[in-house]
Amino acid sequence: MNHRTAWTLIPWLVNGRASSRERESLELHLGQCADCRAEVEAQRGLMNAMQTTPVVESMPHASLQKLWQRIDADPAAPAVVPDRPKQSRWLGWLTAAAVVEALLLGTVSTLLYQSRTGDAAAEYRTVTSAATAPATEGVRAVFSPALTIGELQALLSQAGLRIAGGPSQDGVYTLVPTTDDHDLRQALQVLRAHPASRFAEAVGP
Amino acid sequence: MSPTTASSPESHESQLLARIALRDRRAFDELYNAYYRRLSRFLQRLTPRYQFAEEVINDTFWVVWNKAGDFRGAARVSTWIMGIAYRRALHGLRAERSGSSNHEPIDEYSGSTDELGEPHELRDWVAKGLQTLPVEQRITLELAYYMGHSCEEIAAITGCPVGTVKARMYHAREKLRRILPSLGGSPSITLP
Repeated sequence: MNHRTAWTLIPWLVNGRASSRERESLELHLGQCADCRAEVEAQRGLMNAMQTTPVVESMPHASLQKLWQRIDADPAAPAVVPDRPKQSRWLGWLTAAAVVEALLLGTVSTLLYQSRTGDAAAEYRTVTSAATAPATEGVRAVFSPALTIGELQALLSQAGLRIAGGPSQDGVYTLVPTTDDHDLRQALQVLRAHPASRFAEAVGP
Repeated sequence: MSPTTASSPESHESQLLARIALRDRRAFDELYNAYYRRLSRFLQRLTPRYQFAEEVINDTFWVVWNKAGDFRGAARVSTWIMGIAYRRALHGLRAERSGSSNHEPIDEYSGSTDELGEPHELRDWVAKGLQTLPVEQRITLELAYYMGHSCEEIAAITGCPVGTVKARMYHAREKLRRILPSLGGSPSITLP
């Protein structure tokens, strides 16, 4: 890989979305090019700064209600499910897959529940409950129900976290670092970057 | 099909979309809630007005509700939704600019480094530096570094060739390097 191609690909090495072939070629080049190594560090700094810039957080409920009012007020929109909806072959397949998915999710959810709670020792918590704060500094997180046990374990391993409690009835996990000197901010970035992550915030002891 | 594949986030979102096409409101609520936070953060980077972000999100999901049946699975669901949001946001930003006293074309907008002031933290520098970029370059950076999209996905979202995405990223990096020297990095290459 020449210098120009490598330099152009650096942003997608930094955000983890370069292909495996691009990554291998780029890493070979990085071994020989101090300029590109410096650029990788600079772009990592930029990405980290962009990901930690605060914005106004908001809850979607009110916005969603406004949208439903708009949809319901639209006379062009069909109000009920048609008896025999006109579907593409792709859509028909997806609908069938949704049924299979529901069955699989039921199985996975049951496994998750059993593996996390044991018998009657389940300790349910909610986001707003004062009891949710872990004994040490940690993270409260919610994941997509589609996340499998294996994917959750891999994600927590990558973030350097372990489950200290949950999931609650609202699906909230309480997570704590696996080591005392762990960088919690970095762990939050890892969680938030995952597509199955729905919510992740730091909580104090 | 393995369980992992069947229950991957992408597969789950595709199934939600299929249910939305059948007017399943619970599926719509779930997809809306799943995207609201990241879309809200993404859009607030383009303009500080929270109301603008809410309007774009609801315009986007208005399209999702009405066009879910047209989605053919050629792209990822996230790419499709981000593409709708991108077009709505760009339309809104251009309308705002054309309605204001400043008729500067949005792609040629360029702030001054004098506007940066003396922020003390890198992220403040970056936030202000991003505001000096033309909106297409800023969006490309946000899609890559905040939303985590690949170059090809950004091309699909923004409806332009991969080469254009790389060029926008190149110019964004160059400009930020000039106005944010604390970022460091190497001297640039020259694009053809």
